[in-house]
Amino acid sequence: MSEPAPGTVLPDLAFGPISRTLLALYAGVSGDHDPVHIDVDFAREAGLPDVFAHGMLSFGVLARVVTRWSGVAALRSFRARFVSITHVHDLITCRGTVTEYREEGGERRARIDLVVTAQDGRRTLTGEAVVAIGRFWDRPA
Amino acid sequence: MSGRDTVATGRPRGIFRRETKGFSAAPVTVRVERGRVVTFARLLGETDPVCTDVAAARAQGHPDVVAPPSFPMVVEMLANEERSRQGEPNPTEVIGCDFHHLLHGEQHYIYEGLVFAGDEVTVGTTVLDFYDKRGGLLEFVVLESTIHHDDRGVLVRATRTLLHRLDR
Repeated sequence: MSEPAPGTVLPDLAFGPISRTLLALYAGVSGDHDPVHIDVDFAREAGLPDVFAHGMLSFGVLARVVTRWSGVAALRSFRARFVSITHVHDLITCRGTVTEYREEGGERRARIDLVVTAQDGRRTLTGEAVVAIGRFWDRPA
Repeated sequence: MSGRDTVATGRPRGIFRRETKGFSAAPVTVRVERGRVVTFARLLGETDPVCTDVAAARAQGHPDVVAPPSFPMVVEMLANEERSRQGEPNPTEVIGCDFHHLLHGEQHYIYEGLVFAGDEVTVGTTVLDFYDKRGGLLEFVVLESTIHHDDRGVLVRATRTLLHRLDR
């Protein structure tokens, strides 16, 4: 198997629907206790209709699209912009597209464009990852 | 609110304490617990056993399970808890975050080394900058953190952009 050509889409990863239980568990294990994600009373007091998901929850799932291809050790950088809110019950789809290769830091690296969309096509996160590449694409997925 | 600029809408400009630009939170050392890494990875649906199974991690030459890519945020939260225990202020408190308005705008990590369960790492955070958009209805802060290991050097450089949305 050869290096995936620029434009190659990595296998999508679907996650969700996002439940209130998941948000509570994520708050606990991540240490991000911002009540706007777990306490509907607080969210309403803040003028919001409901709690909403932590951006970093989507980040964490999206990162798997890259690392199940490259492995965690190959990841060099990851940039995410949280462009809209992920609501309770949203089903998110995480996608990575290989865009280019370059020599950098004494190794060959691939750049991957990233996007997370909700079930209605709404973009919630856009970003970019850089991974060092070797023969890791022969790894079992 | 005295001393703050006022935008055309008459709204006082922002909640963040702009005078804290350049503030560096006291570096604190925290331990990365294996259980926390594994539980965090599983919750995200991680299927790579290198993050969830110590035997699989060791078989690949790692000393213990590997923290997933978004775990540095957990390390920063642990550092905040440790600062609270020590009576030191957290960056988010110092800059005046108001959770009624707070959103996470951007997150950027540069990975220079892996974080493993069992690591003791030192976390430092600096308030890099403040800026406004949409006439001050959105105000941003940029925080820069490093996660450092005594023997392996800097493991992660993190840049976090938070914002207050002030139109509701």
